[in-house]
Amino acid sequence: MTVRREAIFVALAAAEVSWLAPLLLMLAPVIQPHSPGLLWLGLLVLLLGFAYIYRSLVAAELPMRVQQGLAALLLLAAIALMLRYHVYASLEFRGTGWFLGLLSSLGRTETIMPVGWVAIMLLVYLWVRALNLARRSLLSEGVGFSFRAGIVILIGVGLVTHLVADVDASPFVVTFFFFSLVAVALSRIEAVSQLPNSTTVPFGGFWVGATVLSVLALVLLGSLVSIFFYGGGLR
Amino acid sequence: MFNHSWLELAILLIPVALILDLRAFFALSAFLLTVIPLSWWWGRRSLTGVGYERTLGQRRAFPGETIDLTMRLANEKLLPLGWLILEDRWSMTLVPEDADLFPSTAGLMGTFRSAFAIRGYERITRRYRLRCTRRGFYSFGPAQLTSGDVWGLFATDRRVPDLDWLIVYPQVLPLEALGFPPKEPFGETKATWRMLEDPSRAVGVRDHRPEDSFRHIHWKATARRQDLQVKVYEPTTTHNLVVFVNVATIIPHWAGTRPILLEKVIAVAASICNHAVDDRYLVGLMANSSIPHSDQPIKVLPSRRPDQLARMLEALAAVTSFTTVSIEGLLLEESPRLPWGATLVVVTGVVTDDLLAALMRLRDVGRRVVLVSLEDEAPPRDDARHPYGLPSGITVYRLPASDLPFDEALMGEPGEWSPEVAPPLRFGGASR
Repeated sequence: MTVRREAIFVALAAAEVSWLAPLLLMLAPVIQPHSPGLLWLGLLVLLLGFAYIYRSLVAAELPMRVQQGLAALLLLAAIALMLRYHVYASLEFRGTGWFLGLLSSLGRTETIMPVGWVAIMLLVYLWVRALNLARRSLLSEGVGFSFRAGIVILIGVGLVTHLVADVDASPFVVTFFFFSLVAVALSRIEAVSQLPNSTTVPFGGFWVGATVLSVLALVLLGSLVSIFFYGGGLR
Repeated sequence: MFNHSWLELAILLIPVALILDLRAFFALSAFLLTVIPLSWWWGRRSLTGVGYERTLGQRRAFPGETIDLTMRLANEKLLPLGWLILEDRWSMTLVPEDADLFPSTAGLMGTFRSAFAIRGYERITRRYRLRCTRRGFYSFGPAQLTSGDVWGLFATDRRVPDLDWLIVYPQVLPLEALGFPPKEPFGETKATWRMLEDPSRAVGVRDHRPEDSFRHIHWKATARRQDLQVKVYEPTTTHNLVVFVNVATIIPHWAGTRPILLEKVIAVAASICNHAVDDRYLVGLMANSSIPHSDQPIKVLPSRRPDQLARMLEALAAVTSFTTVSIEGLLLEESPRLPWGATLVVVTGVVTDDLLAALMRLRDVGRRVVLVSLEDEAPPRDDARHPYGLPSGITVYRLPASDLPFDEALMGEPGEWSPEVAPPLRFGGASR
C-alpha cells in the first residue's frame, strides 16, 4: 500500500527533524524568537521537499550525470533562495549585494556561528539526509534502529543544547516519540504485509487508524508522566 | 527491539535531569519508562488466548489428488493483534495451489508463512488446496506463531506442537494394465478354494472317527476322557499371498537409488495388493526397508482385517529407498514364519543371482514363488517361458519399468518428515 509507505517516510523525516531542530536553535540563537513548532515544520518541509525532488529525479530515469548535475543545481538554488528571501530578507540588498553580505558575515562574532553559514550547512545537511531518507529501507529493523539511534542522539542533543545555549529540547522529545512510534508501528505492518501469503490481510484504514490512535494515547501517557516528573513528582 | 538496558538508561537520566534541571531528560526518561513497559506487557500478552488449528480435508489421498487445508486462527481476548505471523511446516512436495511454500532448513520440509491482523474476539479462517504430487507419509507442523504489541516494539512467539498427518498412497493400476494375465496371475487358486484345515489353529476336540489321521489325536484330552479324541481345526478357504518389495534398485544397494524405478516397484506392489484383496486373498506385505527414523522393518502380516488394504498401502506410502537387508535375506528369514500354503510374490527392480538362488531354494522346499521383475534390460538367459533360467516351478513376470503406464510426473522421492517428529505408523509390528 503506497499510502502506508509514504506515511512511514513522512514519520521518519518528522522524527529526524525532532532532534535536528534543537541543534539548529543552539547554533543560531537568532532563530529563537520563532516558534519552535514553526521551525520544526519548516525543517520537515525542507527535508521532505528535498527527498521528493530526489525521488522525482530518480523516477525520471535520467542519466546519472544529468541527475547529479540537476541535484547540485537544485541544492544551490535552494541555498540562494533561502539566503535571499529568508535569512537576509529584511536587508535591502541590491543585485548581488546579498552575496557580499554573506561573505562579510563571516567576520561577525556576536553569534556562535554566522547565521548565513548555518543556513548553508543546514541545507547541505538536509539535502544529504534527504537523499539517505529517499533511498532507505522502510522495513521494521531499519526503522527500529533509527528509533533507538534517535533516542541516543536526543540524549546528546538535549545535554549539549542545555549546557551551551540553554535550549529546551523537551517539546521535540514528544514529537520524536510520536512520529518514531508511528513509523515503527507502520513499518511492522508494512513488513508483515509484504510476507508472501499476506495478500488477503486487511491492513486497511482500521488498523492504521488504531495504530496511530494507540501511539497518540501512549504519547499522551508519556507526556503526563513527564509532567509528573518535572512538575514536582521528583523534585 | 528494546531490552532492560534501556530501562536502566531511563532511570539513570532522572538524577542527571534533577542535577542539571534538564527538562528534556525528564521527558525522555518519562517516555522510555512509559513506552517500554507498556509495549513489553502488550507483547507478552499478545499470544495469550490465541489458538491455531489446522484441518486437513482428508487424511489419505492418491497422487494427483488435491486436498483442502483449512487454517483457523482465533483471538480469544479483547486485545487486538495488529500483526500475527504464522509459520507452518509441511513437505515441499505438497504444493499449495494458491499460495507459496518456501524451503526450510529441515530436510524436504517447506515453510508456509502468512500474516494476519486479528481484532479482539475475532476468528479468521483461510483455506488452501494442496496438490499431492508424491507418494509419502507427510507430517504437518509444528507451527509457530509470532506476534507482539501494536507498536511493533516487542515480539513474542509460541510453538504450536500439534501435528497432522497425510498419507499419499502409491499409484494403483489394474494388473491387466501392467501386463499381468487377466486370470489368476499368481497361480491356480481353484484347487485351494475347497475346505482346508489350518493345523496351526485348533479350535476344539471331538471323538475320533476311523478316517481321522493319527497325527490329529489330542493325547491329553484322550487321557482325560479315556476315549480317543482328535483336534478340530479352524476351517480355512482363503489363499495366502505375501508380497515382498525389494527397495534396492542398484547393485550393490549402497551405491545409490533410482527413484523412479523404486516408485514403480512400489506402485506394482500396491497394484498387486489391491488386486489380491479384491480377489479375497489373505494378503501380507514385507519390504527390505525400514520406517524412516526407525530400525523397525516394514512388515504387514496376512490378516482378515477389513482395513488390510489400507494398512498395506500405508506401509507402501512409508517405504523409503534405504535398504536394511537384502531381499533374499528377508525372504529366507521371513518365509518360515509365513503360512505354509502362502504364495510369495517378490517385486523387484533388480534381479541378482543371490535372489534367484533364494527363490529356487524356496521352491525346492515346496513354496509357491512368483517373481515380478521390473528390469528394463532382458537377462542374458532370457527365455519367454523360463526367464532368468529359472525352473518352471517359479512363475516369473518381466514388466520392463519403462513400459509401465504409471504417471511419472507423480513419481519421485517422497517428502520426508523432520527427525524430531515421529509418525504414528500403525502397520504390523512397526509402530513407534
